[in-house]
Amino acid sequence: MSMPAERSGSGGASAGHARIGRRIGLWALLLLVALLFVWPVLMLLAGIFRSAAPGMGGEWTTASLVRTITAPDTYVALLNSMIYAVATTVLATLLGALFAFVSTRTTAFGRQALTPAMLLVFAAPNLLYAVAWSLLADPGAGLLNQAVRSLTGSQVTVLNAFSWSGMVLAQALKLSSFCYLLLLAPFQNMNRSYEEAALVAGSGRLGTLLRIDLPLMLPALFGVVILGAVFGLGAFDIPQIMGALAGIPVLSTEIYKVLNLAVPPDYAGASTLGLFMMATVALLLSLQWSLVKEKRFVTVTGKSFRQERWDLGRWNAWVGAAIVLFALFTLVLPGIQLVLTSFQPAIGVWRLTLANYASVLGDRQTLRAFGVTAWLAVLSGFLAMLLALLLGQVGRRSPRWLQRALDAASLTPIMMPGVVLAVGLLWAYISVPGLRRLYGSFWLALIGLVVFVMPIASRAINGALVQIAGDLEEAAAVSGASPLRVLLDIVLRLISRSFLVGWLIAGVVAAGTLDIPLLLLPATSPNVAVLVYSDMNSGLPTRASAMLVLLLAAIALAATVAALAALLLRRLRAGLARRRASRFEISSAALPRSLELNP
Amino acid sequence: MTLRRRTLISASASALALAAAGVLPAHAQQNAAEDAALMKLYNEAVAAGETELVIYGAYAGLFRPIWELFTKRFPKIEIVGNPVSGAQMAAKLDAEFSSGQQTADIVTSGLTELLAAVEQGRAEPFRPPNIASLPERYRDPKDRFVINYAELYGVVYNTNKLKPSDLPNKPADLLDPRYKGMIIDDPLGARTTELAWIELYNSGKIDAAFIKAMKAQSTVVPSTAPFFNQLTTGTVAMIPWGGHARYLSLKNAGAPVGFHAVPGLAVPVLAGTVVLKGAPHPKAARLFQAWFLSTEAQNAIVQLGNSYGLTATVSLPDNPADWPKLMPIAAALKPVPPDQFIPARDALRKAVEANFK
Repeated sequence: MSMPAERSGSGGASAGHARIGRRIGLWALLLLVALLFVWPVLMLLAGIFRSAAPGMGGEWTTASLVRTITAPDTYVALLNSMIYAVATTVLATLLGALFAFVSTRTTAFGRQALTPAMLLVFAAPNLLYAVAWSLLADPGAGLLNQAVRSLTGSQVTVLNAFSWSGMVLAQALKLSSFCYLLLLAPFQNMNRSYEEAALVAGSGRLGTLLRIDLPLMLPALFGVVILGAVFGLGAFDIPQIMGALAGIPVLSTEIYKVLNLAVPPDYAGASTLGLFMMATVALLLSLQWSLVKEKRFVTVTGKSFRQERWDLGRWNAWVGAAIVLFALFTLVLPGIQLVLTSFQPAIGVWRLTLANYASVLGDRQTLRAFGVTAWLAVLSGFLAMLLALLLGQVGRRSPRWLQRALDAASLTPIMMPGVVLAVGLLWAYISVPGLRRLYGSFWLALIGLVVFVMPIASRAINGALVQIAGDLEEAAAVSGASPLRVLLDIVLRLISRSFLVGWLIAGVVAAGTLDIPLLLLPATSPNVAVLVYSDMNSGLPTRASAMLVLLLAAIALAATVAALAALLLRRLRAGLARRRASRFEISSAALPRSLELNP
Repeated sequence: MTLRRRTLISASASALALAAAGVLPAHAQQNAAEDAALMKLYNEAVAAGETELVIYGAYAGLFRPIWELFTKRFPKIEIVGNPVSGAQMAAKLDAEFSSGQQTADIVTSGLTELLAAVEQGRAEPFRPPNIASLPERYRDPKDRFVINYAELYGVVYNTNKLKPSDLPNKPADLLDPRYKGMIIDDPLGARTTELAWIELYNSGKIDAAFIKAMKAQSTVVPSTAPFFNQLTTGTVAMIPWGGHARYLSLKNAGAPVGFHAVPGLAVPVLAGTVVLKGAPHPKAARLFQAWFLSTEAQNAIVQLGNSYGLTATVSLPDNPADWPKLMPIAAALKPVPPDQFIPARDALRKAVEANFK
């Protein structure tokens, strides 16, 4: 009877090895997180107290901190930024949540068009959206105002792009696509049985929505609100183009001003202004942590659940009309403006030409840039989602302080506006001997983009993870599955939809990001965003528009191919399952009567 | 061998023989000498395996047609332009110099950034063999940079909104209430307004009172570049210090824009190139620095870059409406030599900080 003892001994040793392996893995992960997310921010924080750019000498000083904190302009910009962020986030989250609900839970007319439309709105770079809306709602010659004037015969200006209302509307419409995409998977995963229970218990549909659906959606909504508010605070293109003419300074435009105030740029001043964003984000995060208790939001369990859609009855047509109106303002009108611009020799000149397309398609560097953009988008989106999944899963199995630390680390990149973060990454990486050799290569730009899109990836993953009950993983672990197996076979499968949506969103954001590639990509292989920036800077907005139309077309094509591939895969799987089932029936029928399970 | 090719070869041989005999006029001899010097630099770059040249600077995108001309002339070297400026260019160069992984060969920019590169010890001195064609005042005595082109900043306006008689003729005119709301970029922003005001302030054309009054009179934007769109649509009627190059490209595209450059209000802003220390393609960079002073390149700066060449050999279009003469405009201002640029800028900054807040 020595066998059990021996077995127990070797089992104990292998358990010990596994424990050591896990600990090494954990430390390696923590080191990676520190290097990728904490180190760049520390470099920037240190930069606040330096009189020169990091690595360029200088001395320690608090002059920049004192100057920025005591400047009245800082507080005007801060107040404007907060008004802007709150107004755009509220409007965008409402629109995003409403349409995500309509798309996933109702039978409304036109709901199938929502996701592709939102993807296109989301894929449109901010700069382009700012230019398109500034032209659409131009108080003088804007298409929108002209159309209303010719319809009403008056001289009314229904929307002035260069005002608070114009800015907030344009930003909120753009941001709503982001909110929608992040809320799509949580709405899809919501367990309908809770709603049915509420309805059976006598609650009306509105009551069910407010008392059941809304509270269940809180973690996802908080994640979206946090990201929305942070994007609102850091938004640059729309405030610069539309707000500058209206005389509305915000934090991001002040940061731009400070960076471009002198040669060399005042990084200390920019980082100090960034502190206000850090403080706001920290406040929002602590709010989320104190309000969201994980287990209250579990909707995906080992039990099956139903996902029928609500028939909206007479509201169907109204909701359909709202979808059409939304698509008109977010996509059709700015799209028409973009396409028109791409065929114009100069903005405002009503003569059409193919010269912009001929110039773009005839340039070898531009064609190469599309390839660079595609690789950066696909790889950075995927790697960020993978890392977010790993961090989320490790966080779930760790003490609360570690979970929060990992969560906070993955969010640090959004605390700094694009160009400041890009400078932080640049300095952080070239201060590390091994990484320094990567400077000016595709790979360092890829690492930078992974860091940049990480907040999006982590919100997408965390929103989904919080809905998964621990009992599923525990069951797998008890059955002897390793943590990696649990992660891949249980968790990843359950959140696959959120993972794919997050990958897509992160990839699209990476495709349109300018600051990181501008600083980290080699000058000899730019991506499309860098070339668009180049054309905009060189006074060629119509050529830039042509490039953006082609980029949007490429994204739409890639999304269509992906959707078709997913459909094909689903059909193949269904076919395979049907074949297996029929084979099982055949083999059951072939069983000898004596071997039947229930004689 | 075709007839055309034979004719070309014999014509070239005759030209060289005539040049050697001193029969050709002086400028033709100069061109032949310049061509020979450029070919020598080109052959050296090719022999060193340099097939690429990377140029950083705000105009690196705008000058793309000029880069294409360079490659047509020197087929084995391709120019890659990267139109970074301001914070991005500074950060990129800082990173390249401290990591040792350098990409940029040349910086093309205004004096602020050129002098910053010089001050940081990043300029590789080089005297182009054809430097004699450039007036003395545009040369650096230590050959660290070359001022080889200029941009003219004047009033760019929408011709549907303003008539020529409505336009300002001196800085004080801008304080008229009818111009209230005109857009300028930040006069501390190292952009067009600051560059123009440095010259005007240094020449006594504007003073502290003007700067103070402009604060209430204008809408300050981070950069005027995006608002040329609003200028063509008519929402913005006028940009008091707008670039001539931008005006010409809009006008050539059919936009309803005009350019008004009167001495004492308009300002020529100098720009140039610097070869960077440790450039990955040093021989190609030297070739470029020399070629940019050649008659061919200087004329291309005019015809393809819509900017002003500065050498004695450049020929400007005889069209004063679109190509105002630089000399009378420059003569109305007190010159700021390169070594006096930073003190002049600091004097303006002091006045702006005191009166524009």
